[in-house]
Amino acid sequence: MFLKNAWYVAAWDHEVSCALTGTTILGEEVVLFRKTDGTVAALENACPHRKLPLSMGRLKGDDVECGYHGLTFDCAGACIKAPGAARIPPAAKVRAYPVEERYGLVWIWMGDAAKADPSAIVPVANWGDPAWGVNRGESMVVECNYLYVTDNLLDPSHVAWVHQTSFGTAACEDAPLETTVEPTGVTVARWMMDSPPAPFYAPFLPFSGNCDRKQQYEVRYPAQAIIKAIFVPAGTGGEGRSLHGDAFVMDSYNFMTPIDENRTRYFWFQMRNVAPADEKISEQFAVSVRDAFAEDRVILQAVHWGMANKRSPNLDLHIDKGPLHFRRGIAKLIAAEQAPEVALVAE
Amino acid sequence: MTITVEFRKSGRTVDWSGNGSLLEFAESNGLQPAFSCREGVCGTCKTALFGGAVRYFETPLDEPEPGNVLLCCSRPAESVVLDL
Repeated sequence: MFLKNAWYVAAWDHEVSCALTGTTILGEEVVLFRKTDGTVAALENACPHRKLPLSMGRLKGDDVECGYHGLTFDCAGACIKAPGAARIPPAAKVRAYPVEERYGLVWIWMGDAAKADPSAIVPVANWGDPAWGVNRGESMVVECNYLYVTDNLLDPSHVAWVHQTSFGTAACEDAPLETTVEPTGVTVARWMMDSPPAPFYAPFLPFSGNCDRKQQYEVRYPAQAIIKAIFVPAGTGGEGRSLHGDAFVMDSYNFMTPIDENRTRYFWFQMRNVAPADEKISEQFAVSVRDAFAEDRVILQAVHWGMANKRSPNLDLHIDKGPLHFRRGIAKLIAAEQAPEVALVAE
Repeated sequence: MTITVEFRKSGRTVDWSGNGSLLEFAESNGLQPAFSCREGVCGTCKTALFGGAVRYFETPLDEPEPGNVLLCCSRPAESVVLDL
């Protein structure tokens, strides 16, 4: 079950060219391509005749020609050519999805096109600000339901065990979490005071010695995480205090796109407030993040398998508070979205 | 007015003197109710309430059915009778 009336990341911008590219999003087959004006179009990836994926056909200008019998669709999904037919059958059309490009990513609206509002795409603070550097991210496919990824992104405590060589320190094991449940999603946060910086961040901190560290993990519906890491010299941190001049801040953006119930495509990049133009540092971060996320991937795939094949009950612990509130919130949104359709069927 | 907590199965009634949860209070009185999360999300500590009313200091993820309480995130609002 997925929330349809929402923006999801379909691809990195460089992954979409004038070649027809098939992908699967929320269990739906979609074909992406770039039009002659450079903008991206997304169509249902199945010819209405015999359901051949249109991605197996040819792009003719801004139109897609099916590779089986040449039915041709414009980028709004209308059939404009049905070779040999006296008239184009009225049912010869494919669905067109609203698409937006933002932050180097191609966003797709999977629900009612009339409700697609680009201003609802998650805002990225400091984007385009020369004082902030961007660690260009990547994507990976995780063989698990997307809610195991949102669980993980609302659970700062896992870093102490899963990421011992990167994000984690002993301080991550026990510090209590503050959970905030809002209509837009769930946030968990905590300050960890006066402890050595985690190995991943240590080389980049503009101060030496111990630090006060904030972890703030926010996941917005449907599945978009903004993870804020703040490091300040020990003794200067804490809720409500203004940030020390030497503060290191990294905002990590994590966008999950369900491929289907069992697979998730995970896109990410980070914004940092140090060495904005230093390409070498951007690359170092990119490599470290890739390695750390590979650690999550191994765990989450095994968790999905373990939960799908459990032979005894599983437990919910105190650390599951944020993740479970998120699961409940998204389930309510999905139920509300589907309710009108149920009512129509009942008539 | 004194608030009392009756642990009916154990046959004991104790004056409420806790400032934590009913779960902690029961434990401090030597009882061992089932628990897991202690945060109001898992429902493991759900217990039948035979009388009285509680106040939740932490909103449960799922409201227990009428006549039941989650011990880990509530305190008595008045004298209560619990199936413990």
